[in-house]
Amino acid sequence: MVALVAVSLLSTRKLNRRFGGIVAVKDVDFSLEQGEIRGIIGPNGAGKTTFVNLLSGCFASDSGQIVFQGVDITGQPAWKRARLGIAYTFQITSIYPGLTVFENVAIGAQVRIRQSSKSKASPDEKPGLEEIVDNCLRLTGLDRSRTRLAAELAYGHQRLLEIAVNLAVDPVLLILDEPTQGLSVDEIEEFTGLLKCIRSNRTLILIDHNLPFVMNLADRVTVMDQGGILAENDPKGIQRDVRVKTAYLGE
Amino acid sequence: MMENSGKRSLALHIGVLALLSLLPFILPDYHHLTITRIMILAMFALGYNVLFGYVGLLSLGHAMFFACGLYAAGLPVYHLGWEVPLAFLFAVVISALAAALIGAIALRTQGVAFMIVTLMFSQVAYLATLYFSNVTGGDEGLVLPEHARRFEILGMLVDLTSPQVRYYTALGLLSASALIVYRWVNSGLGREWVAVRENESRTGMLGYNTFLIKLKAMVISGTLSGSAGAAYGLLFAYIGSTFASIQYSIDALLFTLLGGAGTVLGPILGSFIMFYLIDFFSGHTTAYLLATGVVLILLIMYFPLGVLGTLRKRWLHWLP
Repeated sequence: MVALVAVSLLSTRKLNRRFGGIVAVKDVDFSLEQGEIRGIIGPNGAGKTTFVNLLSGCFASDSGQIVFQGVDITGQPAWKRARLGIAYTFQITSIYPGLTVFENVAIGAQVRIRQSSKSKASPDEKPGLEEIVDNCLRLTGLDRSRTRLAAELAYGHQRLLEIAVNLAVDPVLLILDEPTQGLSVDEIEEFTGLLKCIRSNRTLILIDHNLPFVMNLADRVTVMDQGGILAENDPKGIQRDVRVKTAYLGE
Repeated sequence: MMENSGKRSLALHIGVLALLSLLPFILPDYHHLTITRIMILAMFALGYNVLFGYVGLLSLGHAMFFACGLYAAGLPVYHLGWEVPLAFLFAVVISALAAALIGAIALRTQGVAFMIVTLMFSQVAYLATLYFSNVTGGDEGLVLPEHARRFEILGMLVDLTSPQVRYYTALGLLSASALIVYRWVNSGLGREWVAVRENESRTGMLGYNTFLIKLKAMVISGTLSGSAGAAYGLLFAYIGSTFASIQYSIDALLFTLLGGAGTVLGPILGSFIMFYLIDFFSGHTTAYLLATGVVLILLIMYFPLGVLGTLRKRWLHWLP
């Protein structure tokens, strides 16, 4: 009998990264299933951002292995990983401030068009650049700001724009680093709606300090502390976990 | 609306080139030669602007590409008796190869380091033209022989001693370069360039190989600059090491900044303004460089993005 194993989209084995004398990520074994929303939480300096940067290719790992969709991507540069379908939104908003909202998203859409021109689907089924951009703008509610400069947008809208740019690439895995940081309560609510909307054909990793937001969305939550994984469970289990409470939620 | 502005800007570009083609009928003879020179230098600046204006890479060594084209075209004509068209094509290919090689090395650096590395390569090229003066003619340069003053192409005899022929050859080359750049800038390629300029790390994280994008732009930029150099040498029948000196690298940068980096017509306009400024002041005072400097400072103060860059920002948003 062949045992049924849940399809693992991404997994890491004994992943390490140090900065000088500080071990930022230490022997992390992590596994992510296709289609889930995974929350990653932990106190400041727990290594969350470093860890996802190792996944996206921003930083190289010192040792260990990363496998994405069955391919060992450990040594690959960020742009190759992005082409395989890993997208990353920065903790500090990273967009093209000097370009219009449309152009911002078009840069993302162009990657997708390049990729799909290599596939064998008939040309009629492939969406055009403007169609992709318009869809992403509508989804994120930015369609009214189409021709404005990205730098002129309100902060919350800039964060949405970064999501729109990444959605235009049509990633398999979207990693969101502190997406709700600096957003108002209303904006967070809208944002939650957006993520629920885009999750249907995607896998998400969510790093955030806003616990109710994470607990509301995530299927599973990973708690990091001092570079390692402290606990992993569904949101309810995490909230009951005594170790987590001491390390993070307060004594 | 987008359609409309696209047509409007294309019309403007073609209009400018059409205007240039009419100038010989309006202006006195003296200007013909000047404008011919300006147009070739504008082509050089156009190539420079691809890298500086669109990709955001400031090179201080583009004179080496200009000189590379100049020598790659001039030396075979002088020493081996090549025909002009063949020498020109050869120079284009050699410039592209040189740009690819130097790009592959220099693009490993960024920012100030990139400026220094390109400057260094350029100085090496300049000194090499002096060192091998038995081949290159060094400082004094070489005057191309009689046979290189005329050639036959497609059954047509082209006489390069005629000012008219030189003028329209230069215009033809400039127009071709401008339209090629215009097309690329408004395509996916131009979008990649601007994406690298505006936010390189974001662009890489979206799945673009930014090194390759920069290398491609470097090759295009170097090839255009080299073609301008080849045209200069062949049209005026003279090749010399001054063209490899730092002054020419700075000129390309100045023309581009003045006219407006990141606009197609900017380098062309900048070349004209700069050339005529020097021309005007040198007629009135020996301190013409000082006067030109003052004008440049004023321009930078009031038009920090260059003439066309500032116009675009304030009024003409559709300008590519």
